[in-house]
Amino acid sequence: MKANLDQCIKCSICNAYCPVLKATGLFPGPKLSGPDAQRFRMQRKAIPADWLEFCDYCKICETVCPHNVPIAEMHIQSRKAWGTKRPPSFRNWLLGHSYLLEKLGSWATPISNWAFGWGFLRWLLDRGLGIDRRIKIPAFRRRTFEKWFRSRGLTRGKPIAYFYGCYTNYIDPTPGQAVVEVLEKNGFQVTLPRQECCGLPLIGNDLFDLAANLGERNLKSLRKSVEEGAEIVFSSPSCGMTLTQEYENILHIPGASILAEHTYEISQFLLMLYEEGRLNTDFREINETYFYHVPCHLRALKMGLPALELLSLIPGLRVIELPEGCCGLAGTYGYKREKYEVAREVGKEIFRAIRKTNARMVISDCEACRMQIGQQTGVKTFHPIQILRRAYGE
Amino acid sequence: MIIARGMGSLPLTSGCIDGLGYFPNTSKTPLSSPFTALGQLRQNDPHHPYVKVGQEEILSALACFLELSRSDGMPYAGTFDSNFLIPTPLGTFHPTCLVPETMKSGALSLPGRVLLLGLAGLKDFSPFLAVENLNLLHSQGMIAPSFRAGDMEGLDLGGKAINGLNLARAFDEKDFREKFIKRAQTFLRPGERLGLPAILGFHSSFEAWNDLKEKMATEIFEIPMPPPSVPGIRLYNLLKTHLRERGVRIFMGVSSLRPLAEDRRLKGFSLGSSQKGPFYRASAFVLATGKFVGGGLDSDRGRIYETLLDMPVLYPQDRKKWFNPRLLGTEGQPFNLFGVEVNEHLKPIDPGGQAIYSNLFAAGGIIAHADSMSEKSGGGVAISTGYMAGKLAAAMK
Repeated sequence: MKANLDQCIKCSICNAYCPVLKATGLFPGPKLSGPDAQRFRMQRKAIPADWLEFCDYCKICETVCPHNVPIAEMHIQSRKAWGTKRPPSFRNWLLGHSYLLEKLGSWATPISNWAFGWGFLRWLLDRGLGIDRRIKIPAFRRRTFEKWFRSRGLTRGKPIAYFYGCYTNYIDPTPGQAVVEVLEKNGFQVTLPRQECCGLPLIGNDLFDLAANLGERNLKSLRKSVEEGAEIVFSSPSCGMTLTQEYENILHIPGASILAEHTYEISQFLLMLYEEGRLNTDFREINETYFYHVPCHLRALKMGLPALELLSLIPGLRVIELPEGCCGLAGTYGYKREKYEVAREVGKEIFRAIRKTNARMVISDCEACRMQIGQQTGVKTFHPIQILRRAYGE
Repeated sequence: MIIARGMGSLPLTSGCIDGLGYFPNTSKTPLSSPFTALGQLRQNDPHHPYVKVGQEEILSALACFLELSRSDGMPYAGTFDSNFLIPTPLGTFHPTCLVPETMKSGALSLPGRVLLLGLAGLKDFSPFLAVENLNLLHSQGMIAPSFRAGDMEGLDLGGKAINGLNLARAFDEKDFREKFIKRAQTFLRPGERLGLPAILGFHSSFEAWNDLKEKMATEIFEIPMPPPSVPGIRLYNLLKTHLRERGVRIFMGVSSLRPLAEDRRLKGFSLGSSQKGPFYRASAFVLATGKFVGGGLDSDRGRIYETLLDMPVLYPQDRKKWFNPRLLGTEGQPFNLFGVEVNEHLKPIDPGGQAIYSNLFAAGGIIAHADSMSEKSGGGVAISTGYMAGKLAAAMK
């Protein structure tokens, strides 16, 4: 999608629905930072814009825009232009490299988990770097998803490549395990192509060149899978959005369009099998009512709500969609001291809605949403595919 | 299931439901009742969507809407048989048919004295400008009430910008309302009604309005403001919640849809730019994409086209006839009449008069022959055609 600001009719609908604008006066809103500022940039005027950082990159502005204005993309262009004048802080550099932190944390468990739970270290990080001490840093796993996968015997079937993402690997492998098992139930042989972090945390912290490096490496290895005849699936909407949209539109990695063509969100992929009559629908009954939170980046993938469709195939199960909105965490955004409160304010309505339902469990595709919702409301959280695996029984 | 490219146009509207404000649209005086003009409309303009829907369906559609608004806690007032004249933020009047209860006592037919209270910093509403224009109309005998302006200063929203949305959210909070009431009391003289910009609550307008009315012991009304309009968003949220509670799925931000059709029957759509799906199927469809602002119609230099299914659009080939050089002339802009032609069942038809898809209906602005801008009929046409198209589509299940 090419940025075209003339499509913008200044209706301000993006402003009306921007969760950050609602939460704080520090951000002037997507209309100003996107299409309005674009006019200045076209005249090569640099815009002093500390407030650009307050965008949490949920892309709701693009979702609600009735005129297809690529607002978030323009906004990123703003950040790129401004970033060349002001290099990112050490804190942002560190958070951008969360995949390295996770790798290190996983290697150093249990010391790392103990250290991040230690009040004094958190106080130091808070005062010294501006990483808010109130937010819980998730516990790392020594036995990564990849190790779990390698420890299993090979299965046979049609090959399919799985992009699992850092969170699944180092922090919570259970959704990844569910993805592998569900795909195997449907006769696929899952492979794990070599993969790095998708690069979204780097993009979110204005480290575009470093993100492009990771992107190129991922592209190379994923392209190989595609050339060997395997389609790619992902279970994290944010990683998937980065692979299929940001590599091409934001990072301008040559040849990235191949990913958009061959990469599927896991529920989308399974739903497609269902369309073709190839989905194993041998589900047992689950007589429960669950609540579902739609991640913003799933909306940004613009393909409806495939997980809801998929779960509706399970007999007895009722899934209710929670009111729309951003949970506020937005990757590394909610970890920053100056943004912790904003992030909480952004997600307030969702948390309120969850408490109102008395739900004990919330389903969401995105790990950041699951983390934030879990921490702020105390409910258990699951990926939709975990529910599907449960329906296959064991 | 609703599939949409974006939010739709409700946040751009006043939140009022226009019936028929001017007929013929060049008329200088607003209609007192849309209902009584229907007969004449049938003669002058037999293709008008109102004529296709018919009087009975229009009335039951609006009754259905009123019932919905009441049961869901945001009641509307009015009937198709009469028009309200309500003030605009510029101090002109707008004829409309159904208004939120919170705007009712702003009707310009109610005599008495009115204080219009502005909030310093709120750029979209100047009470002084509005009052000057309204009092001019009053002195010409065109409206009943007389107006006086006040401006409240020093409102604090905790550092957030003073705009309609932030103010509306602040009015949801009881504490903020208490503070506001205390300060507003000092402006109000005995016997005066109070007019405020439409910011009395984002989630619970009716509650905030009732609360204010009781505590200030006077009639209070809201004046709709320029977009993004709080009453428009309230209406959107009302409808969305209503539908979602009944299990309707709403997909928004879907920019590419590929239709799947077979022998004049629409089977479904696949979402996403590549041909991957997921696929969404249904037994019948209602096209409600609006005109140019809504995104249902678009144009390039030589032609005007319907954006989703590329169905034939009614418009003159001569490009000069698309526009009226008098930008805001009462006769309106010709392009506001463009749209798809439908038969008496609201099915889009080709120039030969045959339905393009046997299970596709149209509703709202995408239907040709109604210039909602100049005749002030947007909401009424939308609700009545939507009601009829929805019923017909449901019958095909």
